Amino acid sequence: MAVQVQQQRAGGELANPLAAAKRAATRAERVSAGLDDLDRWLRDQIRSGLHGMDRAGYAHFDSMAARMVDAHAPGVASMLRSIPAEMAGVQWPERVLSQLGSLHLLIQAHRRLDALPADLAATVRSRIGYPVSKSDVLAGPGISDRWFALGMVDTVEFRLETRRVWLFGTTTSRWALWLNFAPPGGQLDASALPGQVLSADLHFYSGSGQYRALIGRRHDTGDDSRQPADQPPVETLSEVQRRYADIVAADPWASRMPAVIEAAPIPSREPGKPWQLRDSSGVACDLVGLVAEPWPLLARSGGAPIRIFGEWNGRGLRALSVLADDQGLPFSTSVVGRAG
Amino acid sequence: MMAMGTWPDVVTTALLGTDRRAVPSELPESWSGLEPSEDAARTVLDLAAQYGTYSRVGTRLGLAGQPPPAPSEELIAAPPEAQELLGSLLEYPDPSLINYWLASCVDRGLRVSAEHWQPLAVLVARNAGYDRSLLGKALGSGGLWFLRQNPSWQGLAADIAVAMSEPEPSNQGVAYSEEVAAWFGEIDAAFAATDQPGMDGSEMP
Repeated sequence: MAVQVQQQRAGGELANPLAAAKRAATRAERVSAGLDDLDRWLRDQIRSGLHGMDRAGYAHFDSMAARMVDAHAPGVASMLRSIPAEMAGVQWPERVLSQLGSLHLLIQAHRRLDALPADLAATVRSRIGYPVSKSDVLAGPGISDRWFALGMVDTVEFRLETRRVWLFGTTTSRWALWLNFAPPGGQLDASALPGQVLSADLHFYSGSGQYRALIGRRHDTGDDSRQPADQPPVETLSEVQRRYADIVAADPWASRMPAVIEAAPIPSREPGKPWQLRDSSGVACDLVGLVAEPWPLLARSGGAPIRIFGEWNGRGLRALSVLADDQGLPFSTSVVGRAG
Repeated sequence: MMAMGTWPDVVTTALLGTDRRAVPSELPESWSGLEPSEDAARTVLDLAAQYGTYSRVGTRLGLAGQPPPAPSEELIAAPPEAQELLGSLLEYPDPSLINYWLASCVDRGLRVSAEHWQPLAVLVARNAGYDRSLLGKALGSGGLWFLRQNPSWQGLAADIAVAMSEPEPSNQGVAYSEEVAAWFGEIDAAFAATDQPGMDGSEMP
């Protein structure tokens, strides 16, 4: 009988390295087999053509997504389930093909995982959905700061609620993304809500272009309700685009990044056309992800540029909050015209 | 980066399927780094992976003209207590209470803050029971500018302009219930800060 060596992990739980290695190898084999199936499925789609996919709806992707869940690749399943949302409008074939290309790239990267730089390999594992234990992340070095929560998005996918909260380190000027999840009937963690400041150590996940972090030790400074004087830096849209290019170069599957721009909202002038944001240089981008026309945002701006925080996706900004201004107007999430 | 004409060709091939349409044969030199494949479907996916990444970071943003700015505001915003009360009244709107709030605001030379412009516009546009003249005065120049930005409120803006040019109707002799009268007292109390000598409205927008 083999002697199994047990070690005490940082989080206090007992781990058996041999058993863990065996589990990891089994998982990697299952992921590889699942991605081989996905590779064949992708090529089948391209051989037979994407036409009609817009009418096939979610079911067409759900079965392959379920296969990816079975293969322990939940990140890939999530990417597949996001594709039907791209099928509105005349340019859907281009957008869907890009998404399929992104999945293809992930499959190729996984096949060469051992040859990739460590950071990129960690990113590939993260995108596929390899689990990373919280205790391992928390065992890494923490970054202490007063973290200003600037925006939040709640989503539901297959009854699993997900909350992503964007945090900005007021001393380190570092962005962080804090994710938390709630199963059906559960409650999302409200430790950091937009407008609040959290004095804590954040522990970042490994991987290139990685914002995701866990909240570690909290510091009781007694001033967490006070909004920081150090606000996130404002960028022009051209600067945002350049920074996003750097992010995508490090993580080709990155789909969003945080940004603050100073811009004036411009209402849609034709039905079906998007609202826009115009920065001080005259460059304009679309406002994306709106669930209602953002008239309160226009009211707040009075037609003048205001500092807007949101998620940049390469095509436009999903506005999540408006920062406090010099005239005494407060930080606000209610004026951006969307829920969550 | 791929020439603009080539990418639509690749998309068309993907749309129709590589069983029916060939992959564009002459690809730009910048695509020469791709591994050659005898599988046309794989070639299309390789091209999509590369171009998709390029297009996500290389979207060319357009220019836009400067939007019309709101005129400078001369009126001071009503105090925070009154704004907060208006927010509550707008949740379960009653014309007599909203009109009384607007009259209280206008009588003191104050205005509604920007956060209430949209809900007031939506409410008043669909109900003739609200006093358009009072609304126009309480919105101030910024609020009237705001109404003009939304084509669906242009009828309301025109009604307000007409109402503001007409003589004010008299409410004398109108009887209100005790409950409504009690709310009037709440509204008076919310504006009371501005009734004291030397006290201005809030710094709210």
